[in-house]
Amino acid sequence: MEFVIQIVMTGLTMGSMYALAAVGLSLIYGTLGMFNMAHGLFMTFGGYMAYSAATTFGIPLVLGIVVAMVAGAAIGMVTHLVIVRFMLGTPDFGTNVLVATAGLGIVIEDLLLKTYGGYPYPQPLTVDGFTRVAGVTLTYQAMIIFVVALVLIVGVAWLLKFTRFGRAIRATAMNREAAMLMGVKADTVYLQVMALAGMLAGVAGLMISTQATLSPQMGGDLLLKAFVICVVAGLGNVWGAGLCAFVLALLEAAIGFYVGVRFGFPAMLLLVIVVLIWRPQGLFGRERVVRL
Amino acid sequence: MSALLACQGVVSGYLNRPVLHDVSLDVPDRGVVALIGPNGHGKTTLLRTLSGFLPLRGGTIRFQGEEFNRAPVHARVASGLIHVPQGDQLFTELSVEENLLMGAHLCADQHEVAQRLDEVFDLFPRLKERRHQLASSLSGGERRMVGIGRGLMANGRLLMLDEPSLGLAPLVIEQIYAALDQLRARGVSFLVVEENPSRLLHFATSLLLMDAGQIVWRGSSREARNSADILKTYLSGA
Repeated sequence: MEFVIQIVMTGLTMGSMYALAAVGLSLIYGTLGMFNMAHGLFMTFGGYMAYSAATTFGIPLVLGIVVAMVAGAAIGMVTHLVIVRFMLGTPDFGTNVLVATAGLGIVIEDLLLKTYGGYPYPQPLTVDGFTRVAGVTLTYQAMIIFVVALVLIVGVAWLLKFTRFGRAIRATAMNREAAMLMGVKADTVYLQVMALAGMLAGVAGLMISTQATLSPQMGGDLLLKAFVICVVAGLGNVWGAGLCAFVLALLEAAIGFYVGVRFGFPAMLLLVIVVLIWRPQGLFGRERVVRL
Repeated sequence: MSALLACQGVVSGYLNRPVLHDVSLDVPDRGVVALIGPNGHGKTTLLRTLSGFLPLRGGTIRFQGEEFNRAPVHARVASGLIHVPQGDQLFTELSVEENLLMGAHLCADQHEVAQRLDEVFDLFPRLKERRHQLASSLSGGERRMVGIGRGLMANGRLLMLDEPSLGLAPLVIEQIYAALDQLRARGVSFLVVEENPSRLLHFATSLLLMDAGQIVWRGSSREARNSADILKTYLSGA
């Protein structure tokens, strides 16, 4: 029984980070119709900025989270203003922007490598200590990760579902021209989406670095997992991405425990293949209707 | 008094393919102007130019006396130039109510928005019954009601309707035009595009016939009824 609780706790902690990454990735795909290859570096960037703020000013974790959010939002907005904005609406946008954001990711990674060096740092913004509940060890760090991710994801969901701002984002994602006819500035909506997704990614980066170490390549693994989650959920389905993040993380934790840690990720990939054969549009995706 | 919407010598179209040549038209305040003509002759292009999706390549567009030649789409909507596009273009995964609320996107006053929503529900009671349904689950006529209602939610000065009868059964077209009649009686100004003029002979105050990107005939609706043969030649010959 303790094992089960332990697996669930691990799954929820990992799922929180996956969800932060996947929800942003899915939001960008759903709204702008692009796959953001720089998303992993948004995370890494958030982690490093929080690290720098912590080592320079000795800020507490709460402020570190704010720094990561701001850093992530800023890099998301810069990506939009410098690259994406000029490519929107051009022929082969999907492919070109994929290459462009991948390029941007490499540039950011190299800049981080040049500034901080390749040596992995421990993240100073960690909380020590643990508590035992029903014979299971719960670290405060894991609980913080879960709570922060939950608050952010519920916050974004509320924003999208119940505010005028969120409604405009959803409307633009469904029909850009019609949204413009309602007086929505589509360009501003895209900028806001990039900022929102970047913000989630920045926090995800900080969270991962507290579980492992900071390194310029740390975002790559999570980008891949976030992509897998988005594909399983159905690309662009934000709610599905949040849910699948937790389900896949629980699955990964269970397989890691019962079969072996190194089989966790391959099992996730195997699941993707099965899902794609069975439901090519993803679990929650709708089949694309070609509109002429 | 100047016209609500005044177009002078409008030239527009797509790259390398001009569609409109020297189109001039006025819509007076509280006026109902109908633009008719066969498909593929520039009616929709004119509306898309007026709402700012296509660049104006010549001529001038004035709305309430203000020059609109280069204004971005959202600025035109904010000034009250409302375009209800062809084929509704609803937000299919939003509810009926959310679609309507999107129409009032630029209005921050919640009481005002709620009041406009009630007005639209009064005009189209069917939408009130279906307010929580997704727009994609509606029938064609209901979708058209949402499209027009969404345009009304903006509380604009001029409503540009692109083929409000397109693809609907005759009985449903009657319902739609009955609602439009009510709006006209309240003093809403319209620029209506239709392929078939029969509904507009009684709805519009003046009619313009567009052919090959030019206005080839214009007159009051009474004149149009008297020269029905001219219209018939154009419309059946296409």
